[in-house]
Amino acid sequence: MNKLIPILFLVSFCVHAQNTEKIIARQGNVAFFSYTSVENIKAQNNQVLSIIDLSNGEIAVNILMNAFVFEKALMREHFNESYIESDIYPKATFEGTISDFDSSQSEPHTRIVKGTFTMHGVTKTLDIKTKIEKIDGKYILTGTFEAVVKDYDIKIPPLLAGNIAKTISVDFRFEYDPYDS
Amino acid sequence: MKKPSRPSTYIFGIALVLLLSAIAFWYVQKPLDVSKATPEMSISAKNLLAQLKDTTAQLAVLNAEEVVEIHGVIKEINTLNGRETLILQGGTDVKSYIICDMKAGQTETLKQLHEKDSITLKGIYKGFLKDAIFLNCVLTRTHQP
Repeated sequence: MNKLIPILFLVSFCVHAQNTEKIIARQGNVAFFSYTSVENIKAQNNQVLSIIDLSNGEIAVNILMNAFVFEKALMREHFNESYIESDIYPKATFEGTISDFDSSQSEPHTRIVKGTFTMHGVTKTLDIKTKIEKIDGKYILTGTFEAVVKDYDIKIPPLLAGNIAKTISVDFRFEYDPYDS
Repeated sequence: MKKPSRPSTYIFGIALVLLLSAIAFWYVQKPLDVSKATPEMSISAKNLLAQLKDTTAQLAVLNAEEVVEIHGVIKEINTLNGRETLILQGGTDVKSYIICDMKAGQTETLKQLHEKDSITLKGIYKGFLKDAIFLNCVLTRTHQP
């Protein structure tokens, strides 16, 4: 029995350590912007999920495409039904690694996040410049990247081609909590 | 009886088409009023999450864009990203929650709420990641202890 106690303690410590090395953002913000001379389109999603493993800098992001909020209901309808086809491709995902990630660094710093982004059934490799801050013990990741519409096999009808930019600007902000909170 | 002239018939026809188009456009543009919508189901947060976590039952439980009424206990109220969000607890053994992005215009009502209050709300189901996501949520009832 006495031999079991240190083993149980070790197992308990390992499980706890494993959990505390992961952080989660349940309400990440992803916004995209399309600027053309005809029309500006903005949409936001405030329920984006992201998890980071602090031990190795691996990051995963999961986005529900039908949870983007637009200024006009008609824009949302076109986005979901004609362009993104959110009934067929309900989620966009990103899986990658934060290059040279050091969880002990508390000063704001910038890192490249390398990974693969899958949207509308198409996967592309991305390198995203990301600002990493640690405020009140919480990690906050912010950044911007650009997505070329035709890269993701999104077909815009010729009649509406002038309304939608060929390259969409995407902003993100994730505020992380400990994984098991 | 005088037969209507051809040009006036055309004008009437065009006006009718324009009117119908305007009505159709207005209807499409008008967002669903969740407070008046009849929910597809009424369920506790605990039961809903238990069913959504069972991936085999996920599709059968709910479809995206359906209005659902949920009864639950408040875990957290926050204004992250400038949005008023109410998070409902799952079961004690479930580390998933119901995330409700509240419809605008409920700031004063939300100020009256606190963690661990029991409430009922309605919202449009968007999908399940690690948590169930609802948008345009409206508070329908608070349950006094």
